[in-house]
Amino acid sequence: MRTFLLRRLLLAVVVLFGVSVFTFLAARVVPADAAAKWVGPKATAAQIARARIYLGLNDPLPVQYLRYLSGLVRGDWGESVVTHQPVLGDIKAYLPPSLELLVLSSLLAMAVGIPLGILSARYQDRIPDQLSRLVAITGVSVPSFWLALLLQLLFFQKLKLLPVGGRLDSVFRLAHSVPVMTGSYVLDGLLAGDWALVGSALKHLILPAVTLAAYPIGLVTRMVRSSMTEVLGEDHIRAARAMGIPNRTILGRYALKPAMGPTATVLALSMAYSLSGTFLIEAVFAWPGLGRYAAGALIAADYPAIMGVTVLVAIAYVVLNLIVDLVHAWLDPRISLR
Amino acid sequence: MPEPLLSIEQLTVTFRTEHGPVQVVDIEQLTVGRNEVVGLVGESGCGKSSVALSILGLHPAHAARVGGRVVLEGRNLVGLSERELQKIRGSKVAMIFQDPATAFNPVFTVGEQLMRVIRTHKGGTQRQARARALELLELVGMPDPAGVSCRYPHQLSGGQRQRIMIAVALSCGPDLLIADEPTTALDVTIEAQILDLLKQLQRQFGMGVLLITHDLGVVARTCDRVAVMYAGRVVEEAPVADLFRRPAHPYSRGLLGSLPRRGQELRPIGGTVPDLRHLPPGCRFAPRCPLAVPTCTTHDPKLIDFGSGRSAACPVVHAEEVGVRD
Amino acid sequence: MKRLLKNPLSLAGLVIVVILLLAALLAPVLAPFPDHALGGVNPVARFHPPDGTYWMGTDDLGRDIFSRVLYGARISVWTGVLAIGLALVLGVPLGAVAGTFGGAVDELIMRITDIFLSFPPLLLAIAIGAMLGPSLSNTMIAIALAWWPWYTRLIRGEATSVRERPFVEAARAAGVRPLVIVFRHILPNTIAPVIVQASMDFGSVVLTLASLSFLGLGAQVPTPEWGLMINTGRTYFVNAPWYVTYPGLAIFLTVLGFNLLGDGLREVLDPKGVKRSA
Repeated sequence: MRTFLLRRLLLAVVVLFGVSVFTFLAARVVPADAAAKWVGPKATAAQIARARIYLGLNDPLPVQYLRYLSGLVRGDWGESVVTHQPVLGDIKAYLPPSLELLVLSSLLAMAVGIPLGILSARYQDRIPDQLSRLVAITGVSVPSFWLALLLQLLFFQKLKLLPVGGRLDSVFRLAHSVPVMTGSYVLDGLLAGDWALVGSALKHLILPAVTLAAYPIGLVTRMVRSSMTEVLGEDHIRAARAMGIPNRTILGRYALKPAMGPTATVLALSMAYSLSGTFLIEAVFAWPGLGRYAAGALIAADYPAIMGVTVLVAIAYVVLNLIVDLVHAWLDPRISLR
Repeated sequence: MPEPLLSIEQLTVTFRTEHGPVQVVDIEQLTVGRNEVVGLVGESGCGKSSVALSILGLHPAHAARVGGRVVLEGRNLVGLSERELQKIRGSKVAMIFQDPATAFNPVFTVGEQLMRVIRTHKGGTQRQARARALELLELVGMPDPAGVSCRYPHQLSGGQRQRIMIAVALSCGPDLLIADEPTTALDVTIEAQILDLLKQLQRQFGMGVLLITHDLGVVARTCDRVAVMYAGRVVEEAPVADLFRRPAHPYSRGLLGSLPRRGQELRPIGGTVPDLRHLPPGCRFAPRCPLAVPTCTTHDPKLIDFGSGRSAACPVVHAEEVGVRD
Repeated sequence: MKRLLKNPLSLAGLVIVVILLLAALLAPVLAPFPDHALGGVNPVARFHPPDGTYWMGTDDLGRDIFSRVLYGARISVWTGVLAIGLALVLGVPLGAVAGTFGGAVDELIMRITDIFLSFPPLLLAIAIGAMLGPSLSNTMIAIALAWWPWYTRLIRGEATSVRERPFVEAARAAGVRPLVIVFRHILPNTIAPVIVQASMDFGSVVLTLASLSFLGLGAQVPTPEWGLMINTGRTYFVNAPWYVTYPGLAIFLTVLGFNLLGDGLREVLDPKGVKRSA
């Protein structure tokens, strides 16, 4: 067990090292002239030269890389060429709203995907299976930015049920003092017992969360289906039936628990996907999160900001994978033998 | 003759396949009495495991169709609802499997699995189930029952797992135990231990046992009576000693002849097992049978009762030949 | 094939894919206003709602959206094929080399794929796309760079099993040069599953392409690219909802068609499980 974890940790370190090389090259080396970008289009040659020195662009590449790497470790992720603010500070400010979105959409994905997957496996190749496969494949096929627009059109424009854009009603925000604790308005509202805040925040969360959940719903459904189908074909399931274990228990415990390992993997995967998925939809929902920040940085070609977000997602991905390995080992006692 | 514990009558099992329906079992009659161990012998693929599954209604409905009657204590199990079958499985009829490595769920401890079966059928509290589980583990000869119950299946040896599987099977005091190749996956030394354990517990509990195996050695060691299966059919039934002394059906003779014995030459049966999709007309063994006469390939033989518990589905052999006088 | 088409979902997928390919092929014939897709404008009919003339309405420059969507099919199919092709050209030889030779080469190539695989494909494509600068061909390269490690992994796995086979051993014993072994003996025997996987990936690639264009990284105006059309149309979606609806529907149906077909294919080839999820 310990060697298993050590191996995984070592691999994670190697991967993160590689990620830093990649983002270093992407942020500092490949852009034709990072210094010109830094000082803006109207700068003189002398200004550009000064910027080159300031940014250390005249140093040999390994020196530049080591400086970049030590910066990453120390929390100096560079400065945005647009706002000239530290990238890490920007990320810290923009992350909480995105996390709120991410957590809710992942919960949605589990709440919908796991039962659908079980249904699919239970009635393999019959009508419920076909329907849930259709739902799952639709989920992974629908362009999220388009779904975002359609949902707004339907629930805001036509039905006038849900608000559009932002995290709170603007009137509410003016009339209400919003406590700042966790960065999630829903959590803050719950902690402060402020139900009006919770309500307004949730109403604004629904559409973006549903949009973001479409893809992971598809992934989770398909993964639960395929791993359950595999488990259901194994001998021990027939043995359990021969022992008179009720079907409900077999599906809900005997087959589900072994199938949860792969499902946890896919869920972690899809959380990382969703983090990049926010790039596509936060702008549509005027959601002041990391995705909108990143999309803005893309349009402005703000390389330090883009690579900062990239590093963050890669770290999140690696950490999620480590957590998944732990969950795996906890769910399946055989793992530690590998 | 007293009513048998289990009586299988005109049982057919038909699989739906891509090439159309294939009948894998077609049994006229097979019984298991109380306190009796009946062996069901045949080569792999002859349908013997299918018989076991159809007794418990374990064939998936969309893949197989079961016809005929499986009567347990006067009650026909074929066509019972899933809910009613669930009550019978594990409590009145229990089953142990060929490979104990795959028959346990890998992600729960064996104790959890044993206790769940107990609580499913007997109810009671967790504490009661635990006490009963430890009792059972001790009964099947596991040292340190409390420690063993906390183990996962992969942490135990094959023999240990099979012992625990027997504990699971016995947990609710079944009337009938179906053992499907219970020792095939085990070492020879362990095999003997498990068979002795089975036999001892069978006597202790007064169960009927249907022991399915391809191994005549296992039959000789454990069974009272034996039914020989060939290509989905029972071709001979006899008390164990009689079968070994004077087998009636040419296939049984072939089987015994292919058994290694001191001072005797091995005589394997010529030819191969017929494809169930394209069965020969008449007797299914006729193409491989050294005694076949022309009518064998045209007439489908029925089981002929020779008396003294012996019968065979072969018109060529006679009662005198098998040592039974009318 | 018969089993594939017996499933109604797979059949639906196939029908969608065939329609898409026909639309891409016949766009110049089918489009009522081909010049609207090729740079022409039509200021007299701005934001014309869908009717008999403009089946899907017109956009902010009065261009027929139906014609542009048809031409968009060409762009999506063509760039998708090129992106996957490029990913294969990159990934397949590397995987074959890694799997055939093993050792340090294998280790190095696999760790590089690890690094690439530690990004979600969409993010990686976005980051590379941003690095290369916005254009349709750069998007294509970005997607290829994000996708190749999957194929490297797959082919490596196949190659490690093939290299033990007698005909490879024989070639090695006969002194055939290592690279010749890779290309003559290993590749032809490992390529089939990769081709299948690549065709199943087509849906995700089309979706990623559209996403990058939506973010402004891919095609540039006035290219009738679906994602770009939605990006432009987004500003007007309250008053001209058709502007975003139809290009989006085109993306959705295209990706859906390929994914339905791919899922059916996977089910037929590997009924036990999904090898990878995206």
